[in-house]
Amino acid sequence: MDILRTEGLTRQYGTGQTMVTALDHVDLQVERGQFVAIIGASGSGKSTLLHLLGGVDRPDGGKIFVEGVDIATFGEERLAQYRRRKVGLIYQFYNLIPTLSVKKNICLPMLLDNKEPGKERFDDIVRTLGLEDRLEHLPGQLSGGQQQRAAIGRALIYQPAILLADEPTGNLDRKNTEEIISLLKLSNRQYKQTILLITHDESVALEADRIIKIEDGKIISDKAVRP
Amino acid sequence: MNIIREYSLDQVRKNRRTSVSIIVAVLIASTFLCTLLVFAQSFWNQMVQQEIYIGGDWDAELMDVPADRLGMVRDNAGVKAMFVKGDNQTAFLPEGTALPCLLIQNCDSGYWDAMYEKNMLLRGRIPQAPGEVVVSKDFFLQNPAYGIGDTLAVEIGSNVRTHMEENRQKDTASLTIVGELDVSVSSGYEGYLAYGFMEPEELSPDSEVVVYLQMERRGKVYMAVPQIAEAIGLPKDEYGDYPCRYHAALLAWHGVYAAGSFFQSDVPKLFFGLLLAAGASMAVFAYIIRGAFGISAKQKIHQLGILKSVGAGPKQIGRTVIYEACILSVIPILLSMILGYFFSVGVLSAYSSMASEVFGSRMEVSFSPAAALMAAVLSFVTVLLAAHGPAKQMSKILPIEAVRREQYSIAMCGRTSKKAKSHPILAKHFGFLGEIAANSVNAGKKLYHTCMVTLSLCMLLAFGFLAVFTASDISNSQAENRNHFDVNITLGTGERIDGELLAELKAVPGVQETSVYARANCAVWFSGSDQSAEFLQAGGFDAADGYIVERDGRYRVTCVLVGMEQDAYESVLREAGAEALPESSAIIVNSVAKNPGARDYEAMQETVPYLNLRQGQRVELTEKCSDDTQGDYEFAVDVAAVIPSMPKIGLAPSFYTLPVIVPMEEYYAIIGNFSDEMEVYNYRNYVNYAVPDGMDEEIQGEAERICSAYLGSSDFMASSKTERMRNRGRMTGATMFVVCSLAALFGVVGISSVLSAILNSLGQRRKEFAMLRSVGVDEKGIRRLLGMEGFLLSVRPILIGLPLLIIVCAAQCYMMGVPIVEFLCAFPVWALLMYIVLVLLVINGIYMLVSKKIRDDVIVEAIKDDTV
Ligand SMILES: Nc1ncnc2c1ncn2[C@@H]1O[C@H](COP(=O)(O)OP(=O)(O)O)[C@@H](O)[C@H]1O
Ligand SMILES: [Mg+2]
Repeated sequence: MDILRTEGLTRQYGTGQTMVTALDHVDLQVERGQFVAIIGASGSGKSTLLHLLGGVDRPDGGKIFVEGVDIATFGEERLAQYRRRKVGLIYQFYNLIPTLSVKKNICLPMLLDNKEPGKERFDDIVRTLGLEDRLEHLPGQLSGGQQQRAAIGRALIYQPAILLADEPTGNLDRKNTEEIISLLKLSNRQYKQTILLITHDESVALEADRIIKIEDGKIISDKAVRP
Repeated sequence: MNIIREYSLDQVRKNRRTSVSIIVAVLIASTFLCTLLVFAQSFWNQMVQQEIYIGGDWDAELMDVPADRLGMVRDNAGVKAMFVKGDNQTAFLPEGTALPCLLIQNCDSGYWDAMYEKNMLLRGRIPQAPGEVVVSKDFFLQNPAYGIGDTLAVEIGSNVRTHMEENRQKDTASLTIVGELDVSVSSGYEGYLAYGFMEPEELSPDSEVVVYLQMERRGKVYMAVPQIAEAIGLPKDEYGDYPCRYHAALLAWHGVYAAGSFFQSDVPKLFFGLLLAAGASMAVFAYIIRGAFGISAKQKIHQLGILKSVGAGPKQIGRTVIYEACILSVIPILLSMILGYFFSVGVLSAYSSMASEVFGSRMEVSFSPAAALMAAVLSFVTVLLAAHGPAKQMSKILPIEAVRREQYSIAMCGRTSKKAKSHPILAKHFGFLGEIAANSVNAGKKLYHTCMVTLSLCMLLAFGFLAVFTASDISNSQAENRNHFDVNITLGTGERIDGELLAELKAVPGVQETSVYARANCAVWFSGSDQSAEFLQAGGFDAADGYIVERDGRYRVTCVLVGMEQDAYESVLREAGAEALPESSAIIVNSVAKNPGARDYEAMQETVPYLNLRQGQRVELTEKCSDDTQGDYEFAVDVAAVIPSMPKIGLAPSFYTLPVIVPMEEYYAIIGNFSDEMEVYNYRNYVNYAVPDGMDEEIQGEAERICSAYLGSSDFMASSKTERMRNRGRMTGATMFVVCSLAALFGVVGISSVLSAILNSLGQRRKEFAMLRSVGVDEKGIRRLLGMEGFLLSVRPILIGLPLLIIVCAAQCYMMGVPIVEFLCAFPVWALLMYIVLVLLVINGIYMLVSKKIRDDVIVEAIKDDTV
């Protein structure tokens, strides 16, 4: 079964003459474990799609099935739980909480659930991210690449089934970009996580299993990179 | 620690400026509430103490209790303490005294402790053992040979003082005078009042005493006391009541009421007023503090968005605001107890030293932990109320919107530029900058809202209150000026006033005109056809809702029975061309206000004939003037004359009240049959003087001197126009002082919250200004831009508040019938101007400072500043 499926997903901003249709009846299916790259011009609606899938935005029409359940019908609390446990969202700007230590930032989704991550798993993630000696620092004391790694750690900590990344490497240099992408791929393979990644970087897109192109809120091409 | 709590604490530490502004707002708000409660409590305490001082510290009184039942009363579980007075004795004095005897009432030690007589001690001490007495002051006045410490050899007589003749057995005893008491008794008793000491255990079993009770549970007193009376076997009176009385005034201050009397008491009204004041100020403070929380929440909206997007639920997000509220309110609320204490002590002691010249006693500041705790709870509720709104708002917002809020803040400014159209004038006159200023005004709508509402509300509250106060003050002095008599004396001993005293009062030299009268309320029932044609035309009984009671087609008209001295009475009759009737002769003043609802005084004074009453007619009256009047004595008078207006004796009957004037002797004969309580009250005499200008205080002094030779000082009261005017002036000053100091607190919280709102808004927009500068707006431009914004911001609350205030003032003048000019002279216009200037100065000043700082900003740093 598809882990993700949307039917007629629509999102509009503003009203009247200034109304913008950011997403226009998008139908999309993603299989479990797939690594999908989303490309398209700026303003085409990529982020909007990702935000809807991540449960941080509400659609104006259509359905979003995650593991067969329509999250568009969820109430606030249930949606928050979905965000906490089912998806990991990574933004272009790292969006860490500046007053919390790196460790707490990473563990945030679990802490919000009043849980502590298992030590083994936590150490594993931190080692993979290369943040072992930065855990007690505040985000402001980290470089951009390190901050983004912490944000990825936060997205991974609950072992969510779906990872959504919105230009995670947009602000990073080539070396950091490569490291981050291989990290995502590792996670994709290791934990069978489904990944949707927005990128402007063709070489990054080519790392994916499947490339979706969006224009004016519609999917205009959808092709597999490799079987 | 819970992550949400940790986050909130971190935020409080980090956003110091917002935190401080919230703390300041909470501090002032809770100081205000604390002060308000301390005021209320001090006032309450003062009233209770005063009531105890003049009325004694007791809840209920049982009369005619046989001495052998005292044990039963004392042992009753509901009784906390019991005091006994009674076992009255007549002590015949040795030869040579002006009056032959002392009329002694004996009291036990509990009574002396709790009751008010000890407060009337002029010299010496209260009796502490049997055989010791305190004696009324007229004894010393009339028998200068005696002094304190003297021992008298007396013959003790009956314990019923009025029947001394019948008593045969006389024991000799010796009494020691230990003090002088400021009391008196009518000269008709042929004796001096004295108080002695007794041990209730040593009373003879058949003597009857009066017992005063303090109850274990005060709230139950109205139920428990009749039960006690029943248990000890007291007989009921003709109304079916036990011979008991309640200290209703004291009980009312403790919130205890007899059935049905709740709404007649002033205490619930005062309490309601307090609730209203507390509620209103809580609402205002909640609004102001809410603004501060709103700012704080907005500041971290981006972070809250992150929290949300990684899965914080709406409840958790709301809790960040609530936690913040709790963390930030603990210290200021604790601090406010100290601050509130000093503030209220300062204000109240200043107030009481101003008011003490009027009241004669100072008001103690009572600061109880209960009041402080209550204030703390109320403050905390206010804070929670204030935090509730932003908490809800934050928990509702879409996560992605929140995350984007900051990143897009510059872009958002660009988007709102469409709205510049709504400020065509600004755009036209100030060009591009005007447009930007208008945009800022729109973008920071919330800020401008807060400023406007806060500042205009503070203005309205403080000065609105002053306006109400000023108008009623003017209206009071207007009423005073209409008063024909300059000196007013009230004599009330509970008995018929001494003729000699009255004669002496009437003989005071320098008085142009004297009137003496007594008055009692009663009622008469009429039918609809008794109304005069003119009265009917003006609306008749049916229009007099609340004044006239209708039952089965009959109307109850309240009457005031006025007793006038024979000669004055006859001269009124002569003027009317009539003669006194030999018996039950009465003059009826047959006039009624034509339009009692009229606003101005002249229209209100217009009268028409009231009823179809004729000379020679017989009118049946009843004591029962309202349903809860206890007595129902009925009597008739014959109308000797019907006159069109009230003789000028200094009595202004209330609306729809029919004055029935009778000679004094007849008056006493009638009220002698009223129920005991009313009889005692109605013995009061009112003496009024009209005197040449400037003489009133001198003559008041003379009258007081005469009265105090006859009466205890609590039995008469004299006042004069000048004295009242001065007292009113002092009270006005004192009250204004309290109101102004509370208003100042409001002003401070208003201005400080507006300041913090401005600082925050400008701080957040540093980047925007840097952007403007980077695209070429020069320093002068920025200065003008901010100058304009500050001006708009400071002028608006005044433009909104001032008209509202004017409406309040005008309405107040209209309702009180006060001329505008007079109002303006008395209203503290200077304070209003000061407030306005202060607002203009502070806001524009802060804009100037910030503008300087922004111009000094390094553009690049400001732009970089808060990218996440
Ligand atoms: N909060 C918003 N308000 C108004 N319009 C928005 C908002 N967010 C996005 N849009 C509009 O929706 C469209 C799609 O935006 P987005 O999904 O961010 O595009 P992309 O990520 O592909 O660059 C754009 O035209 C953008 O202007
Ligand atoms: Mg985007």
